[in-house]
Amino acid sequence: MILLRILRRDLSRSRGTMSLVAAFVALSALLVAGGTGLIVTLNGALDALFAAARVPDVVQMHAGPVDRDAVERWAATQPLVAEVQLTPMIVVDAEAVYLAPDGTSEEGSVMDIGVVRQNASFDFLLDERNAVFAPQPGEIGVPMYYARRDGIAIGDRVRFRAGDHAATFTVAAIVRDAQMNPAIVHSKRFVVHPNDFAALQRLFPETEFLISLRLHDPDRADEAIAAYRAAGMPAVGPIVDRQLFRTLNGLSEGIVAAVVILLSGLLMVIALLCLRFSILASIEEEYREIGVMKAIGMPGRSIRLIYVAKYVAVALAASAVGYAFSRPLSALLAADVTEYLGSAPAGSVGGVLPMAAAAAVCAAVVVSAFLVLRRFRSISAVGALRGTGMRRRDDVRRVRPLHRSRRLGVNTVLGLRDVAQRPALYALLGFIFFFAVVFIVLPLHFLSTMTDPGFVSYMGIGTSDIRMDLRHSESMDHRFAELNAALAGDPEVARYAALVTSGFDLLRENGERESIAIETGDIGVFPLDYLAGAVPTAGNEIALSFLNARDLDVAVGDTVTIAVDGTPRRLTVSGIYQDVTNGGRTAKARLPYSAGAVRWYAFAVDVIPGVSVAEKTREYAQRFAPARVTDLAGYMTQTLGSTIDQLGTVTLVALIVGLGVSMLVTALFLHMLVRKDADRIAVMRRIGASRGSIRRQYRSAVLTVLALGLVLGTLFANTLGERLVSVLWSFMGAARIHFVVDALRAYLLLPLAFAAAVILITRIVTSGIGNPTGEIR
Amino acid sequence: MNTLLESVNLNKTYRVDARNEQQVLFDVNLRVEAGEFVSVMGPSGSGKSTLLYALCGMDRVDSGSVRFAGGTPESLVTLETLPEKELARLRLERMGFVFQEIHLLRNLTVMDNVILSGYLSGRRPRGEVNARGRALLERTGIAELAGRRITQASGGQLQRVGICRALINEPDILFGDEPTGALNSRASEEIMDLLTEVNCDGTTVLLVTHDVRVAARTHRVLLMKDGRLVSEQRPGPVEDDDEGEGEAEIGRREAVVGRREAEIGRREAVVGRREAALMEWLRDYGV
Repeated sequence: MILLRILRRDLSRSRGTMSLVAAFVALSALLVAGGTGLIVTLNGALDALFAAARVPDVVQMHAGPVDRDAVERWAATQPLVAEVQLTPMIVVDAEAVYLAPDGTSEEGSVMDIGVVRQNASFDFLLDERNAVFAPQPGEIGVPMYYARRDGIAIGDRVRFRAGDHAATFTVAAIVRDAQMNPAIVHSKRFVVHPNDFAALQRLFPETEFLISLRLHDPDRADEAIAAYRAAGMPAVGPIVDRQLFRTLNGLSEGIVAAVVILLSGLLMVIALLCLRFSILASIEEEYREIGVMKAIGMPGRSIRLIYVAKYVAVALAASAVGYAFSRPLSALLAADVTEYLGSAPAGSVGGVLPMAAAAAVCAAVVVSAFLVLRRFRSISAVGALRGTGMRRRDDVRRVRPLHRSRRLGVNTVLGLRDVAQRPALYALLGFIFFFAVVFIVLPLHFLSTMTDPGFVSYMGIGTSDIRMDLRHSESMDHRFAELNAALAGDPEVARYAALVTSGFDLLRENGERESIAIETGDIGVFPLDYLAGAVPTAGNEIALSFLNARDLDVAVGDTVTIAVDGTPRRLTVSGIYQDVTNGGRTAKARLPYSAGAVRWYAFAVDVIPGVSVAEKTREYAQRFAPARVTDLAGYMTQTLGSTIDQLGTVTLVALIVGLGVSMLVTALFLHMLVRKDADRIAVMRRIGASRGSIRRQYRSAVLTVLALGLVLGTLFANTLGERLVSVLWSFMGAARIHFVVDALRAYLLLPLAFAAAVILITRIVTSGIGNPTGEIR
Repeated sequence: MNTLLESVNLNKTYRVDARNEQQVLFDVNLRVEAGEFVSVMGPSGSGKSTLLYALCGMDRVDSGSVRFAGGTPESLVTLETLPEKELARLRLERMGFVFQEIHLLRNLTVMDNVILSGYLSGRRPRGEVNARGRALLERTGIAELAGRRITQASGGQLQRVGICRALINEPDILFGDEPTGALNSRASEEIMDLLTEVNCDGTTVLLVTHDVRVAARTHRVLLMKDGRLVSEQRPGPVEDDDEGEGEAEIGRREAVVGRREAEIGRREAVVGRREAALMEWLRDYGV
């Protein structure tokens, strides 16, 4: 029977295409089901964690003393408030905390470290089994963040040092803190026995309070917050609600899920494009048969069904396979969730969602097949039999005739003409090249920017030959004086700047006080590029890092109030600069520094011409160990090394994925194009065009499209891409990144790699071009 | 006599599947002299198209040999020993093809279709190829179509384009696979006139046809049946003058072209007579 014959022939002829479509569909289903599974797990785990921890609905952090009775009296009068709880939290300087196995302290850490007792009625800190953790004397619960970062295990030691005194604890639990779990929350709570708490309080007298509320109706947190503020309750610090805890907890894993689902969408689009292409190619091939079927009176619907049956079968099988493999993928993706948030209760309704997502992929494929096959309607029986009608509509576009070409090879011209004549067809390939190029060039540009010496301008320091850092240690002040003297007396030093960073209190309009690190000293010696304004020149001026300026909502010319030696001083913002170090929150001013609050010292040094920077660096490193003495490149790699490494990995992965997808799609595209162009190829073969000649035509076409993709992709990356990276990095402190382009890699090697990949694929695919006696329809 | 194309014991079998084989050529021996105008007749399925494709190197045979001599002795080649690439080059530069379905490229204009082979071969500068292309279109009476798309021309016009394309590289031989098969009788006549002219210019022509009217216009007709060449007829030149090659013939041909208009009536009559004779001959072989 004609239908079966067509189906069989079609399946065998398009085996390659169909398996590729199936692969894309399966991958897409796999990722979308996996991503959905991750979201479901995340939600379930969050619910379970929040329930077990009895997470508060509203938390006010307050630095300073609290009138406990007043707060409790107020709470008792509030119809919204069900429970209130005041948790004292000891604030421990990061440099006093020793967690890591190698015995270094947490100095320089962006985390605010607090120590608490286990709460009595809600806001519990939980152990690995989501049970309320009750430490014995001498025991401590360490936040999951540190356990993950340093591999801290139960039984390890944690030490808090204050001057000559130290308190050592044994880790008895890795705690989940529903409020402060995520890495992006810059506060972490350790939990100890009440007796130990009292002892620690004597070592670290600075105490903050968490004033937590549980509401009868968690949705009315905004009203509760308004009422709290209106009542003038203690409020030196931020106030947060349950929704924020949930968002923060879900964010990092949510991003993973979003990326996975987006990727799945991308694969889906590729799959659908391929599918469309494959269907159109087979319609062209079977054009006469379709005409015959129509001519003998078969309804268009039945004909469509014959064709769609194949795609339904493939879509079903592929998405089923994808779904089957999504179970282990979900588990893998959710490993992090389970560790941070605990496991979700099994057997919830959510288990159906991944399956539904995979089914949606399948449905999209089937619907799109149906839509494409609507073209059958436009085939008239007579037209099809006579070989006219809808086919080859794409061939009619007028371009410069071949006989006008002078210089380029005839095959090259034919390839170029083909692209010009069928732009819609080649656009699919062009899009893929474009995305692949952007996908690779963006991280590549950013990598070369980060490894360029000019990147110091994003690190809040001026360009100098050598950089020396003295971090917190017993004899820091003494060493600083020694180094200063040595540099002053060194004839090989052209100029140097001594920089002191110390902690000051910044007073906000609302009376809140927060700590700010300000660099003082010779801040103008080594110039820095300012986003706006310039370096402070007078004692009443201050330059702020971009993130500080944004947080304080100030611009150049505005004022901020800093407590200097206990008295508030209004300083005018003279400039805003980019800084990705120290959490992006720094400042520079010409203030007297208070010896007690110094966080670190630094020197920037230029040597006189003819003196080796490397030798000078070595000399000072030996003389003043453990001061960190590096040339600028070394400073950058030490400060940003891990980020650069990560970015390098990302770039490599992007390169492999981008090139791989480009090759795959090129192969698919050409495979289908050669099928579609079978007539044209056969004619050329008959009049004596060699296989190589036809190959050169396709190569010319594909390389033209590739060149367009490369140019447009690179332009996009260099303009909008640069802004995109700036937006992303503005969260790190650098808001206006200018790409430093590694022209060799980005503009020569990368295009060459693409061209080589595409030429290779073209060669492989076109080696299957048929003999001259091939059938011509 | 100068042999241009020769086949020795050609055998070819098509395999439908493992059990189903069909031999389509049986020990076919054939010789075509330079300047000849030959046709191969036979019912459909007799293997005449297969023979044509074997002779021009588009298709490989199972056994036997095809020798093709160009203008010079050193240009003699044995097709079955040539690699694919050189076969393609040979077809491009020294053979021309005219097909029943014409097979023009739809994405090119008429002019571009004609000059494509010339560009592909790269033997001549493009300006020269263009000039030759225009001259060919002029000569075949379709110069005004040069810039048009092929969808804007009639079947007879398209076949002229096909002939121009076949002649662009000045081939030694022109192969025709039912070149008039898709045309009405008038267009068919015109195409045969054109092919006769081409032959008179010195190009060897080998046609495959099942049309007696077409065969009657050629110098020699071979009859093919069930994969074998079974007989041969020489209807003789239109002028009833069956002698001579070389210098004399060239002069004679020029005279033929000159006399053509005047002779058209007589020739019609001659062709008509020959058709009748050929029909009789075919009947003898049960075709």
